[in-house]
Amino acid sequence: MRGSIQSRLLISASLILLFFLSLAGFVIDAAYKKGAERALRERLEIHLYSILASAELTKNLKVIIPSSLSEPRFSQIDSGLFAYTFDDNGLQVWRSKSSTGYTLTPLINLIPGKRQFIISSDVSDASFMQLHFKAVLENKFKKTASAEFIIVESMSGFDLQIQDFRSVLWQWLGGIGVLLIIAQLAVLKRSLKPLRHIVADLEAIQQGERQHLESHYSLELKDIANTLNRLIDNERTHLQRYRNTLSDLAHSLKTPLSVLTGVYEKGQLDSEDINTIEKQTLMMRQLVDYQLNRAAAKGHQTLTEALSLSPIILQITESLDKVYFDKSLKVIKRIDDVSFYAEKGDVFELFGNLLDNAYKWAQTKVSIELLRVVDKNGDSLGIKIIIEDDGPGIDKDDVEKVLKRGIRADETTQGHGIGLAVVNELVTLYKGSIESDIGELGGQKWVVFLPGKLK
Amino acid sequence: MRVLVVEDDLTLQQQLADALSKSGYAVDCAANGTEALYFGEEYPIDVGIIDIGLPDISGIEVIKKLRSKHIKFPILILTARSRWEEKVEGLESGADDYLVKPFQMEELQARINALVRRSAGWASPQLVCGPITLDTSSQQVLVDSNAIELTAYEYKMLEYMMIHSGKVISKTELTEHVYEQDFDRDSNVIEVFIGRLRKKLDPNDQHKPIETLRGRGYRFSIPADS
Repeated sequence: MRGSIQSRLLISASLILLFFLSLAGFVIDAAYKKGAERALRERLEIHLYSILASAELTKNLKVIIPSSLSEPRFSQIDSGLFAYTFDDNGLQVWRSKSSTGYTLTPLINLIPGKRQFIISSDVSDASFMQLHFKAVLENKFKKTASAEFIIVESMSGFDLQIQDFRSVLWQWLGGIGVLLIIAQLAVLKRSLKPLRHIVADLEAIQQGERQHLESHYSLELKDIANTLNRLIDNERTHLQRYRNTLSDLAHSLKTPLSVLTGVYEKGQLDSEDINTIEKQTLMMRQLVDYQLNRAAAKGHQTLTEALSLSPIILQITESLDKVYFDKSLKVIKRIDDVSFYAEKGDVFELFGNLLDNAYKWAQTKVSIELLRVVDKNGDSLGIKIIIEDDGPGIDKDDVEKVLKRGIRADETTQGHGIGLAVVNELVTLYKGSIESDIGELGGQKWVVFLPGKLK
Repeated sequence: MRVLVVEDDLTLQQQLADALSKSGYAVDCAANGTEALYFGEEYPIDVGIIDIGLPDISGIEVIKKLRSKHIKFPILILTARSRWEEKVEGLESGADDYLVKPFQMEELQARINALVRRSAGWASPQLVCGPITLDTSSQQVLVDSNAIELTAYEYKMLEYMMIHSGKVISKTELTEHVYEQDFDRDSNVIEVFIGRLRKKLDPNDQHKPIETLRGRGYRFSIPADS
C-alpha cells in the first residue's frame, strides 16, 4: 500500500478528519461546560433570591431567616447546598442546617447589590461554587442594615454531569469518525476503480489478450488512455519496422552473398571477379545503410514537444557549407519559423539527405524553402519543404527508381539513391507526399509536404 | 603530407595506414583519444582521420580539444553511424568532412586530398604553377602538358612544396611532412630528391621552380613572367 494513491488519500483524509473532529469535540465540550456553569450560577442565584425574600430585619437591626426554607436541601445535612449570612462586622448571623461541619469566611468588602462567584475547593479536593451577595435590608421603621449572603453548592454533581457528557460526546465523535473513514474508503475504492481497470487492461495488452485500452474510462482517464493507445500504436509500428527491416536485410543480403560464394568457389580470381566482388560488397553496404536508416526512423511523436525546424536547417546547411566548401555555393534560404511535431533524428535525416543531394549536384546555387501550409480559415495543415539546385536534375523516368530502396540513378556519385530512399520512407511514415520537378534554378526540385499540427 | 589516423579497430587502422602510405602519405597511427591528442599536439600533422567511437575519449571530444588549443589541421571524421544528427554534431565540433563506414579507400583518399588542398587555400584539385600542373586526384604531374614520371617520394615532396608554394620550407619541415617518425634526418636524401626533381621538372634550367635559400630551406615558386 505504501505510495499508493488510495493509502495516501486515506491517510491524509483521516488525519484531517481526526483534527477537525477533535477540534469540534473540544469546542462542544467547552461550550457545554460553560452552559452548565451558567446553569449552576443561575440556580445559586434562585436560592439566593428565595433566602433574600424570606430574610427579615428586626427592630434592633438583626437579620432573621426563618428555619423552614422552601428548598429542603438547606435543611438536610450533607446535601451539598449551604447558605450563610454574615453581618457587616463579619460575624456569622445565620447558617443553614445543611452546612454543619463546613466553615466559611465572608468577603466583607463587597459592593452591595453585586454578585460574586468563587470556585473553591476543600481539604478533600472537592470543589464548590460560592455566590457572595451583599444586600441592604430595611425594617418596618425604615432603618437599614447590610448583610452578606453566601450560597454554596458542591460541584460534584456538576463534575459528574460534565464527565457524563464528555464520555457520550467522544463516543459519538469516535463513532462518526470511524463511519466517515469507512465511507471515505468506499468512495475511494469506487473512484479509483477505473485506474484498476486500466492496470488490468494494460496487463491484458501485455499478455497479448487485447490490442488497445477500451474506451469506457472516466472522463479524466480518457486522455491518458488515448495517449497510452497512441504510444502503444507507435511502439508497435516501431517494432514492426524493426522486424521488417531485419527480415528485409537478411533476405536482401542473401543474393550478393551467394554471388560472392560463387566467386570464391572458383578458386582463382580474375579482374572481372574482383569487379563483381566490389559491386556486390557495395550493394551489401548500401542495403545495410538503407535498412538501418529505415529502422531508426520514428515518425510523429505524439508525446514530444514541437520541434523548431529553422535551427536544425541552419545546423545542417552550416555543416554542408563546410563539406562542400570547394563549390562555394550560393544558398538561398526562405524559412518560416515553424515548430513541428516530429522526432529530431527524423528531421535531421529528412533535411540532411535532401540538402546533401542538392549540394552534391548543384553548380552554383541551392535554394531551400520551408513554408507553413494553411487552409482557407487560416488553420495550419502542415509544412511544405522546397529544395532546389541548379545541377543536371534527375530524369523523370529515374525519379521513381531514386526514391525506391537502394537503387541508384547514377552510379558515379556515392550514396545518391539511399539518401532519397530514406527521405521517401520518412515522408511515407509521416503520411506526407514527395514530388519531383524541374525548378526555377533549372536543376532538381523536390517538394515535400508533411501534414501535422504546428505550433 | 603527414596524416594522423585515429582508429581503434587495428585491422582497419592497418588497412588505412597501408593504403595511405602507398599513395604517398607519411602516416602516424593512434588507437585511442589520448594518443590522438598527443600526436595532434606534438607532431606537424597535415590532415587527420578520426574515428568517432574511440575507447577512452570520443572522437568528437578529441576534435573539440584540438580545436580549443588552436590546432587547425583539417580533420575528416569516420563514423559507423550514418545518422545526420551525428554527422552534424561531428562537423559542428570542428571537423571538416565526414565519411560513413564502410567506405571505399579511393573515396577517403579523394576527401583527404581535397582537405589538405583546401586548408592551403587551393580550391581545385589541380595545383598549377606556371607550366607545372599537379593533379592531386590522379597524382599526375604535367610540365607544359607533357606527363612526367615521378617516384612516390618525389611526388610527395613536390606536392608538399606546391601546396605551400611561395613559402620557405625548411629541410626539417620537408622531412617531417614527407617521412614517418623513424627517418634518419641527417642523411642528404632530401638534397638528392630536390636535385632529381629539378632535373625532371626543368630539364633546360629555364623556370628554376625550386629555389634554395642557404641555411633556411627551399621555396617553390615560378615568377609570373617565365
